[in-house]
Amino acid sequence: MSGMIGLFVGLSELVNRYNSFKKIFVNIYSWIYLLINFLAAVLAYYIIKKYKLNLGSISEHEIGFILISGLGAMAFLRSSFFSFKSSSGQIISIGPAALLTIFLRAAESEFDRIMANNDINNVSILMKDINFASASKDLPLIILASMRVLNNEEQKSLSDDILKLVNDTTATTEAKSIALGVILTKSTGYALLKTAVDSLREIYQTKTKVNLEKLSTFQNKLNAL
Amino acid sequence: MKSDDMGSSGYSGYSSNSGRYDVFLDNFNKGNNYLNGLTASFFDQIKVDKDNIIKKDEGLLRDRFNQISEVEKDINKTNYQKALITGNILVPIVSEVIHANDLVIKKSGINIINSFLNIAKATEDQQLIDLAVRISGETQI
Repeated sequence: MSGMIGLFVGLSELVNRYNSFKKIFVNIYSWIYLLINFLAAVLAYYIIKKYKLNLGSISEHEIGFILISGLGAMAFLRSSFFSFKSSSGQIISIGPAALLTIFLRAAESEFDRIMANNDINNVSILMKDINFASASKDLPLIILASMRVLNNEEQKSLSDDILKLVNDTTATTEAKSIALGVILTKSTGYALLKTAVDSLREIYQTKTKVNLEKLSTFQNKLNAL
Repeated sequence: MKSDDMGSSGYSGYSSNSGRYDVFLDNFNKGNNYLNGLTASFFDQIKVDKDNIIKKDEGLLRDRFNQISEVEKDINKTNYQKALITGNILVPIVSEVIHANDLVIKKSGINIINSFLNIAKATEDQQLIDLAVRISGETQI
């Protein structure tokens, strides 16, 4: 039970960082990270029991041992004995937290590689033939209208990221379209992005394209006046 | 300008749930140099033709094109927002402009409408396209 507390705390940290349950479990470093949390909690429980540490009235109940060892181990793992500032200005913590950070960073890097590979493969096919000028505004709008979880700061951050693409004059529109899809996938996941892109594609074919053709025909008539 | 102020959009979701994307739209429209650059060029393109109509007409058209000049001067609006307002001003008067007896007014009017249509086509912005379609529908040609 104590180990389960460790597992739960570790898992909640990973979920908070990666915003995805599914992809945490395809990453070996995530498993190592969870295992460290699990073992630390189990070890704390074993030490408390073995050396009969006096925990006061809480020792009268087994659940007390479990909670103290589980939560205590989590607090210990995330603690540091001291910290110092390196020449580059970076603050480095010395203690168990540093060990945990190594695996957390490794998990993060591995997760990024897995995600980036999947995202580019899926999104480049999905965004093919999508008009970037229209999609850069309409696609996020369709997605935001359907989502409840993006707060004002997240909306602004998303908008800033997309604006960097829109205002960039050096990249090709094809590359911008893929980058747009990858940016949106981070907030939506692939399934919702695909639904939104399919909707936009239909709107473009049945409305935008038809209207653009109408406008060209009208312009010919107008210029003939 | 909020998204709901921009007229018909083509998406049913636009008029409801607006709190979910107000910040996005506001920030996006203000920071979109591509869209604001193109719409700024629209005002440059129509300057001479607009002045021609203001000089030639003494009634409704002069008032409306003066109104467009005032919109253009508004420093609190982005060029994109100004283009949307200009489009809305043009909708009810396009027929009168292109069927005007005065050839200068007619030619200048056609140039202005053409510029608006070109901007709508270049940006592929739904709001501008919707306005351009409304303008073309009002011309009766």
